[in-house]
Amino acid sequence: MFTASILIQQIVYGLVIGSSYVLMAAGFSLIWGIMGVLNLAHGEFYMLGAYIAYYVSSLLGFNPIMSAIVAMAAMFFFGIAFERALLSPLYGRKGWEMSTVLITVGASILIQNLALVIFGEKYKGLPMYFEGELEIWKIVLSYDRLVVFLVGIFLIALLWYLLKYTRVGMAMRAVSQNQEGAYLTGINVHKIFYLAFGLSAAFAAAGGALLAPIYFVYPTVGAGPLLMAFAIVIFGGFGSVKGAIVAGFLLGVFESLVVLMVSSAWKDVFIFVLVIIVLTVRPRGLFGIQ
Amino acid sequence: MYLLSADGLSCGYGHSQVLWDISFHVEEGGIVGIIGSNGAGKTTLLRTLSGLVPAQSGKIEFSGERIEHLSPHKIVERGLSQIPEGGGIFPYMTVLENLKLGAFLPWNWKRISQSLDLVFELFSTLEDRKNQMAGTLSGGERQMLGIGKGLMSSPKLLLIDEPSSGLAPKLVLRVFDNIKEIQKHNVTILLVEQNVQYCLNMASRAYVLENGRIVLEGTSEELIGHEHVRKAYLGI
Amino acid sequence: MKGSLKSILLLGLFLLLSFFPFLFPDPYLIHLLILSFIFSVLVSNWNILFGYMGIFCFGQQAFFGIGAYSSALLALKLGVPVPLSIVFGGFVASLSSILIGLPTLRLQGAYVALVTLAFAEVMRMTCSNWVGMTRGQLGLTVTALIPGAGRVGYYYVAFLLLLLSTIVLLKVMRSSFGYVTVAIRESQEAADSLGINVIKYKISAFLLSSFMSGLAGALYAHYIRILTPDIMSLHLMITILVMGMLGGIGTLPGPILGTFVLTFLSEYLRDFAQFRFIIYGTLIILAVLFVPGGLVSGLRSVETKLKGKRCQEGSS
Repeated sequence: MFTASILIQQIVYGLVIGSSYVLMAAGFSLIWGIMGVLNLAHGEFYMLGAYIAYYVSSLLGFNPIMSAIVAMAAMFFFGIAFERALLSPLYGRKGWEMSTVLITVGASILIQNLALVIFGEKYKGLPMYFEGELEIWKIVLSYDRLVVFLVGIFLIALLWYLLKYTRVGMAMRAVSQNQEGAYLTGINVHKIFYLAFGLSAAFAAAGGALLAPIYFVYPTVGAGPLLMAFAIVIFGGFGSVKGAIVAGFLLGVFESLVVLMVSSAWKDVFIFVLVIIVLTVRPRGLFGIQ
Repeated sequence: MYLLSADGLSCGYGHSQVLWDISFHVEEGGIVGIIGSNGAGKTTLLRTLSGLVPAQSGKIEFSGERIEHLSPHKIVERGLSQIPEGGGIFPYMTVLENLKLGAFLPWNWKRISQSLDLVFELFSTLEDRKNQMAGTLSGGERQMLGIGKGLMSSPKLLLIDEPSSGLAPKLVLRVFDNIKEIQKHNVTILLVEQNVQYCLNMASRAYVLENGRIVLEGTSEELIGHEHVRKAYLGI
Repeated sequence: MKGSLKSILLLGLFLLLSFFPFLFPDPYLIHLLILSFIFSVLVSNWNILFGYMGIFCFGQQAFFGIGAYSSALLALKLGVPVPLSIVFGGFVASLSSILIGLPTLRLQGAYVALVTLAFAEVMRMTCSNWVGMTRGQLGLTVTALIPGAGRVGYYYVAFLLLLLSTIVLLKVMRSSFGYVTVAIRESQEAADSLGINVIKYKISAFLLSSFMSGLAGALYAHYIRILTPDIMSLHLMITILVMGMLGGIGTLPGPILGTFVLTFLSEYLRDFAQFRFIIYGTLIILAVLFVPGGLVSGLRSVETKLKGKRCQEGSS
């Protein structure tokens, strides 16, 4: 069967990709908790982040960390524009829950297919930036992946710090817990909405940008991470960033092990079935607030 | 000039109107009360004053400025704060975080430690529980936290929505003592209450709100002696 | 009066469609109409769940596909006569809706969307990977409905199916069931507190919706004659969504109108195949922002404006 070292190797890979999944899921959860919006175009933020990193890397020769920063900055503003243009007209409307879902679906279709037309359907790949690998006790980890993991952890810690200790972060948490109370505290809730949205887009883009050199970049590359983000958020609890972090790593490892033990084709099925089970048994998830 | 005045104010939710032609005023300093039973429209009135519900007609003036079309956070910026029923607290944040958020506005944020000192001086219980999750506080403590939070924003006028609701009489007295304390710190108060006794004990002037309209106004002495008030609200 | 004008128009339309193959024997147009009929049934029945009941069903394509595959396999492997297998296809789809419906019954909004989507994807991947049974991506050849009947035969069967579906939906939605579904959409808690057995209504809606969608899928399979798992892809769900939104969800004529418009529109846009989905995406966004009621609400407001004008002219 599988030796311990192969298993551990796979778990390590799972943690690496898990760190990017967490970035996706944390943003998704944040938006849900603060705005009550289900952003089905979230995968496209990941995809655009990946493309930005790809072009910045191959045309300007930036290293992966710089590319990620550029992608995050660009997508932060894109996210703000997105919220202002598509979501803010819908608040206060009757049935806005359905409207926001529909409009993000529309945006997702639009962006994906624009990308298809503009960038072409060919899978694009980036060469490894950092040569070499790290080897500890028969576990091999390329420096590229190590960087992804470390940057991912750094960003997660940054988000944590932001939410816990800064004025804006506290305001975000306040809005997610008691929107009217937040208004009465003088918090400009609409501003928090678009800032949070921009933040979630930036983090999704970071996920995409970091993984760009490891996996391919193509217009529908965001679909998998979106479904993963969904699964993670359900598992960890809608609205809970802590839950997204824990569940993100867990599901990253789970996926990795499924790929090893079953096959790559069935991994999505396993994830879906897991989600359905969790929803039926404990809809609140691990740390859910609802 | 009055600190706060409303003139011909009408408002509601969508097609159902709740308040008709409301006019009242609050002078600087002191406590003014609004009495009304359940469903009279008290909370809607406060929410309209704070900008959470749009006014359908009429005007609201605060410190000489028209505020009825301002968004809620701008109204707080101008010094009009509200403590909604239940305190308006954030349940999954600590007492300290809740208080800090009370001072959210930039000019308050700078003076945050002084404000915190003041609030802790007034409410030592809050200091004891400062790292406790706000959602785990008892009803009376939440009310206290709400008042403390309101204080942190150094408001000129504080709207308080039914501070006595759900509290045992002993606690209610404590809460009202706290409110009297705040008033000493140059905060004008508009107190909305269901319980007429409590309200008229605190306020110098009051209005009676019934079915969305102001039906009576006067000083507390006048109202306590008023026949309608005694019959309908005091059960005498 | 406006009322009778509308009835005359509808009657005219009905007669036109009834005799269409003889008036305009263009096989291409007939093909488009057959597709329109079939998809109208699918979108109308999805609309029961989404537009009327407010259930975020994102897995309708699974019912379509399950109906298709069940019917095809029953006919192929067990020799069941095709008309019967189509009906069975509907029943199998209905059964599957219980599987999908159960986890979603007590959930709301977002959760339902994900579960139904997950379910549909699991179904699709199973069909795709279970090559021994379904031949997966290679494609399954399907027996014809009426051997040698030609396109016209399918035309009338599809037309009848649409009529059946429409009549059933009309009856159901105009009855007390219809009131309850809207009540549930507006507020599930309120409906619950009024003593309405929300669960029972949801299950009934799922059973009906999936049965008709399964029938549509089965008919589609026996018409197109070749079946791949792509029939249950997310693309179909998106198409259903656009058709519904375009026509107007939450109305009865809306999905049908939207389906016809989009089917014919996408044929004209065939040359711009890559832009097709860009346009779909843009349409959805524009519809949500500006015309949430779809074409039906647009037409209705035109109707009221005309009525208003008539009144003015009459009084002066």
